[in-house]
Amino acid sequence: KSDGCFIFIFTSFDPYYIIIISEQLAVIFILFSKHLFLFPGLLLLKSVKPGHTVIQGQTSSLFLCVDRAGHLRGQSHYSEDECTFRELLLADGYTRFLSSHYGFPVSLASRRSTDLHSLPFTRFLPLRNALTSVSASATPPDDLRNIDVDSDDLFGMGLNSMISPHFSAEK
Amino acid sequence: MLIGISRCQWLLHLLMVCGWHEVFSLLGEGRNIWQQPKPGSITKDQQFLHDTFPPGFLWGSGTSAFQTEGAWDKNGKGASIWDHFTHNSFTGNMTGDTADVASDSYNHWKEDIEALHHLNVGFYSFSLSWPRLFPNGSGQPNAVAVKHYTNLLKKLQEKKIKPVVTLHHWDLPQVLQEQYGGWKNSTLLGLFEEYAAFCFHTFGRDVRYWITMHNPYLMAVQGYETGVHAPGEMGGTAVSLIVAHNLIRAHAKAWHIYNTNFRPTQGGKVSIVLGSHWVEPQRGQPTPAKVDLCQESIEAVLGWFASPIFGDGDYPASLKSKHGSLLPMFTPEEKIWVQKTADFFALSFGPNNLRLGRDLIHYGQTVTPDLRRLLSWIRLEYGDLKVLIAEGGWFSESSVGREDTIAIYLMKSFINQVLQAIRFDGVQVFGYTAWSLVDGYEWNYGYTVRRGLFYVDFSQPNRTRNPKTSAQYYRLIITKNGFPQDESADVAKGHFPCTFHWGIADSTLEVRYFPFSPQFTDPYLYTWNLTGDGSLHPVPGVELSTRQTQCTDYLAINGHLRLLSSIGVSHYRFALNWSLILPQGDHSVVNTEALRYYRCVLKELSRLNVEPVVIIYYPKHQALNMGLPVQLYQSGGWLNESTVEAFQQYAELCYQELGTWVQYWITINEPNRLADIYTKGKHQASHNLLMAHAKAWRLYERKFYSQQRAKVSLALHADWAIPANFFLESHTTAAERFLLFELGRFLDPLIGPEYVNKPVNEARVMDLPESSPLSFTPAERKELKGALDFIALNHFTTRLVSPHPSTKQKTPPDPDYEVLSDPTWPSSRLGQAVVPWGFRRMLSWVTMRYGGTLPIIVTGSGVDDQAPAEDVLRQYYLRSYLKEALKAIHLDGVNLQGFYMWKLQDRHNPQFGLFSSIHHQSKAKASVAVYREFITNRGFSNNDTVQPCRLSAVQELCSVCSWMFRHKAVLVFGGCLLLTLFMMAALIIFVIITKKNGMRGRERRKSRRNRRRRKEGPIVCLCPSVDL
Repeated sequence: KSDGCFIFIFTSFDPYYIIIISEQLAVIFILFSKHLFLFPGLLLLKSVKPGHTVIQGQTSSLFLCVDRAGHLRGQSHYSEDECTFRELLLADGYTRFLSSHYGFPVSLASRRSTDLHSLPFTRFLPLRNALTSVSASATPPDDLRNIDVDSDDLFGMGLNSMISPHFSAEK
Repeated sequence: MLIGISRCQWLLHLLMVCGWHEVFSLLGEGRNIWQQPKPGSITKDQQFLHDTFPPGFLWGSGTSAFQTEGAWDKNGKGASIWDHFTHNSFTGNMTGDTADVASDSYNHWKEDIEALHHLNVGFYSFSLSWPRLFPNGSGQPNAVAVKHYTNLLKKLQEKKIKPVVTLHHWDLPQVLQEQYGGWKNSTLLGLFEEYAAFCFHTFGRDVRYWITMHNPYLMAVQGYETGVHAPGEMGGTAVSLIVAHNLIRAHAKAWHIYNTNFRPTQGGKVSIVLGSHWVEPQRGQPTPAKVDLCQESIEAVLGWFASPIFGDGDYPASLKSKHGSLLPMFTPEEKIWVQKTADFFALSFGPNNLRLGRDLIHYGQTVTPDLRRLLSWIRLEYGDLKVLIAEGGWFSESSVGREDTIAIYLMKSFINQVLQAIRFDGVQVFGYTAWSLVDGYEWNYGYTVRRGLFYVDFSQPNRTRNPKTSAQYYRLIITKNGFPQDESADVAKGHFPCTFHWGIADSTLEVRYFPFSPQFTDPYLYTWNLTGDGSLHPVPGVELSTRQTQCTDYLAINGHLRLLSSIGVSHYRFALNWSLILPQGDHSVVNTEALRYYRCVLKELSRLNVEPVVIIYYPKHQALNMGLPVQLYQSGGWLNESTVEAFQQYAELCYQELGTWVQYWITINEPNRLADIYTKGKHQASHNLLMAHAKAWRLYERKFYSQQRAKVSLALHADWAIPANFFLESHTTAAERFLLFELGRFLDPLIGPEYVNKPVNEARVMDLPESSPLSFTPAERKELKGALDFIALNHFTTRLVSPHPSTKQKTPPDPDYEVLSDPTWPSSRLGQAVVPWGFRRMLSWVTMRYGGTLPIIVTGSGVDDQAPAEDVLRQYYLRSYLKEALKAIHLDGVNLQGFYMWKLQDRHNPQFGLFSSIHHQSKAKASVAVYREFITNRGFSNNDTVQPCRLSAVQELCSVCSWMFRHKAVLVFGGCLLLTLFMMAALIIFVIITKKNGMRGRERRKSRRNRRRRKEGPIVCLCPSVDL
């Protein structure tokens, strides 16, 4: 979906969390006061459909899943309901990961509050990647897109519609 | 030309023989085509080529006997395999149509010649019917048939139309099928030789171009493998390989007999028409494996026949390894005997091969109609041969009558590809056959498709030939011998005016309170346990005074606008968010935070010396509630008149709160697009949107103009339109209707002088249910009239407009047209055609209709480009569109005062942005430098030297300020130094004086010194404060 690397920083006053996600791999650092814990493992973030991702531990191969009660856990078999997350880009630049099925946000705090929006430690801040690796996505040449040899409109002339880039801009 | 060629025949032949060994080594070279990625559509040699064909280029049209002749059993004609195939329901004939009468060319051949004459073609390609000439396949010829073809040839000679004669276009005598099993049997080789010799002997005096057979690939595969064509056998690959082997050898026999017995006296040329599809590597990635598959795909069709005949006399290696022992072998003698048995390359490129290619032999690659690349492949593979396009063209659905608009563009595209192949790739194409002359029987498609330049109504007994619009177009191409530049090539001279707005257009500006700098807002003092656990503890009881939040705290603003200043633009267009400012729709809740944010943006812009253009309401299709506050949306949006009132209140708030910094307001962006969303009540919405604008304009004039003096307008989506089919009056009318509906609908009530008494012909053009598209009361009319300070247009592309085809159900309020796109125009990934000249024409149209008094400002224009950095398409767009803008200003007298490039930054993936998205580090794409150069030079740099613009008084003042601002530190230091020196001097004088005058007046002196110190401030603070 996106081909850069992100560093997600969970900002709060104390403790705070830094998740470094490089391309598809993630390393979680948790800085608790002055103690630094390096979580053993890398996380693989994979997009399964637009806006939906699967988070999987690279060494453990466990999927990050959330159950009906809202408990996060690692699970070896993938279940679409419990193990996909909607990545929500917030207006202020933060992102939230919500369980696609149950809607619980991924939070690094134990869940005490019932209000989803005030639940702490759910917002991740994507920062710019200093490492460069922009892979040019290979797509068919522009003039091949609308070709239909079964149609008398071979080049798809009639697929034109009155669209303004202003009014119908990118989603 | 033809005679010239025939005289050179022997010399040419000699050269070909000498060069033969070189040709061998070329086999397989065709793959080079795919190894280089295809250049982008806007590179010079990929764009539509305005040029003519070489002098003497042959233009023709063609038919085949079975498809058009009819008269299947008249005057002693024998049945062909196709007659048998179409008469029997048990065969694979799927449509059930027969060609017993077809276009009845046997009886109407004189009308065919008239049709050719009408087209002004140089040659006619037709086929002889073998079963008509030899009802029994061989033996005694049918004298009536001989007479028929002799008459045809004589008449063609009279009209100076050269014949290109095909011996065998699939209609094998049925007796040969029954007796020998058709082309499976090598006995046919001798029979074909006999038939060919007869034809050469009988007709050869008048024929310079002979084709032995048409598309043997389709004969072998469709006739004997898939069974879709006659004789309808499904014998599998083994049989089609044998059939092909026989066809190749039969062709060679015919060529040899001509070469030995007829060439010396007749001096003609003989070839075979080979058909092919074309493929491109899957997903455009030319990996070695995919390139190999592409090469194999073409070898499996074209190479199968071309390799023995034009190559080394043998089948391609890929075919040998694919079919193994199934593939018949040529003996070494046969190889020598088969090779070079064609005097030119005759190519068929059309739907039959492309569709079959897509179904059978694509090898996972993408089948495309790229005739140009196929021609290059042939040149690389078989050498520099003379090529005749023996069948070119596509098809129309049978329902398409004479108004075959799309066929025009397909013809334009195919023929231009041929021209490009000649001019850029050095392929020696010497003729083009537009297929076909008249509508006929289309093999397995029966009469469900049409391929004729002339329309034939198959239900009419007299089968009248009526020219379609594609015939008119072909005639035009022939007359001009190609596509010469018809527009006088105006040169863009001069520069843009000094006051020209160089702008950037953005959509609704996101209000981003975060990231936010929290410094000076925390009132607590902390102790830091540095050596211990490193924690911070607030000191109880201590509270520091905090600072008011400032504009600089919004880190997002600076980050965003810093991009603007790096381009060097003078204007920035952005939109406010209605539903954010007034969440309830009325003044009960006003989001002062959002207003403050916008104010900060405006202040920052003024600091950057960038003039803002603010859009009050910016509707977007995908936006929640179309950008309206939810209550307004729920109560019917723009169909409800109360929204007009609500908008007025909202506009007033904007004027009030932000008007100090704004010189250009746009009330509503693209109301023409927004109104279209209301499929029911389009006019009601248009009406309300117009009234909302007019009321907001009047309000400004009444309450704010005297202080703020800004200009207020509304911005329309203004694409240009031309008739899709320029041969049809109805299309011209539709294009006019398009412009009136798109622009006139909104601009006429505001600034159209003749709107009230609209001329009758325009009412006809509008063709709308009511007498006028939008009805207004006299009071409303008065309110609308003149409520516009400038004409704001968002222009992106040009569209082809055609009336709705009669088959489509037309809903009454919809304008009566549909839009298309010319496939020969370069287009972006999102399908936006890049048509620079359309920009100029649109500007001229607006100027013609509304006069040049009101300035026109293009408040949005741009193109999407997928490239993350080297946005070649956008650079081309920028250069070419601005060139047309210059022409519009200097040659057409358009009062154009601004151009706003859409848009500043991508949101996610590379699209319209001049800068990549934040996720991609907000990098400047290459077009930023192009735009910056334009702004610096006020036009093209290669023009004469730029007259520097005189700075206005304000700017001069500002430049002094900015100089002072830059040297702030030096100024302060200098000021302090001066003051100190002055004080020192004063002190010395004072001391001297006091020494003289004793100790009087101490108090007074002290206060005087204090007063002087205070003067320090004013000196330093001459410049306006820079803090926001």
